[in-house]
Amino acid sequence: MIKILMILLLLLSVIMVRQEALMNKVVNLPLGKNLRVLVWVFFLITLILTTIVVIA
Amino acid sequence: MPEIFDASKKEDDGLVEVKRLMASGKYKNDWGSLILSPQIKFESQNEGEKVIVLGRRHFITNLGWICLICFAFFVPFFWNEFPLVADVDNNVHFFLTILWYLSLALFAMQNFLLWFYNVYIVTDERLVDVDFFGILYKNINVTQIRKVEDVNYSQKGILSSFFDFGDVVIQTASEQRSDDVFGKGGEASPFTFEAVGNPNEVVRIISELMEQEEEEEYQGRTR
Repeated sequence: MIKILMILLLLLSVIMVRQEALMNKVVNLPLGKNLRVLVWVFFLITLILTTIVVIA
Repeated sequence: MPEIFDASKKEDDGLVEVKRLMASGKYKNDWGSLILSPQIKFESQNEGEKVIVLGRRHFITNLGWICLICFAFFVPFFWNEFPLVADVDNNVHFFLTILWYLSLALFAMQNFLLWFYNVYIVTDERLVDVDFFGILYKNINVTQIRKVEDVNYSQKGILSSFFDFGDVVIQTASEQRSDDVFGKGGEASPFTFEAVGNPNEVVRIISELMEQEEEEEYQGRTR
C-alpha cells in the first residue's frame, strides 16, 4: 500500500514539475527560477525515497 | 508655429498614481501582493507593452492551508494513538512517516505555486487575469483598457480590513463567457482581482489608465 502511494506521489511530483514550467512560461516572474529549483529538488528527493521504499 | 500634436511624447508621460506610489518606496517586494513596474514578461505580451502593476492574492489568504500543515506536521508524533497504525512494525511506521511528510510538502508546494502564479497584470494597454485552478487547469482573460466600463472594489471581513486587501471587480463592455464566472471560480466578473492588496490603489491606477485612454481616443491617438 505504501509503495503504491509513494509511486503515486512521484507521479504527482512529475506533474508539478511540468506544471511549474508551464506556469513560468505563462508569466515569467523573477523568482520563477528559484521555484523551479525547489520543485526539481522535491522531485529528486521523492524519486530517491520512492526507490528506497520500493526496493526495501 | 504652435505644436498641436507630437506623437513622440505620448509614451513618456507615466501615470501620476504610479509615480506617487513608487516615490513612497513600497510595492517593490517580489513576494508582495501589489508590485509596481515589475520586471516580468508574460505569454501574450506585445512588443513595447509596459507592465505597470502585478497583483496577486494577499499572503494572509494562505493562512488556512499553512495552519493545516502546521497541525498535520505533528500527527506522526502520535502514530501510536491510531489503532490501525499502532499494530504495524517499525519499518512500516518509518515509511508511513516519510510518505506523510512528502505528501505534506507536495500539498504545501502546490498551494504555494497556485498562490504565486495566480496573478493579475495591468499593462499600459491591457488587463490580464491569469487563473490557475489546481495544477492541471488554467484560465487566462485579457481585455483592452478602452473596453473597461467600470471598476470597483469590495472588502469583506475582519482580515481584509485589517490587512487591507479586497476584490477588485472590473466590468467590461462585452459579456464575456469565462470559467471564472460560470465555472469553478464563481467570480463576479471575468476580471476579478481577488483578495489583491491595496485595492484602492489598483482601482485608482486603472481609473487613471481609463482616463488616459479616453483622452488619447479623443485626440485621435492610438497605441
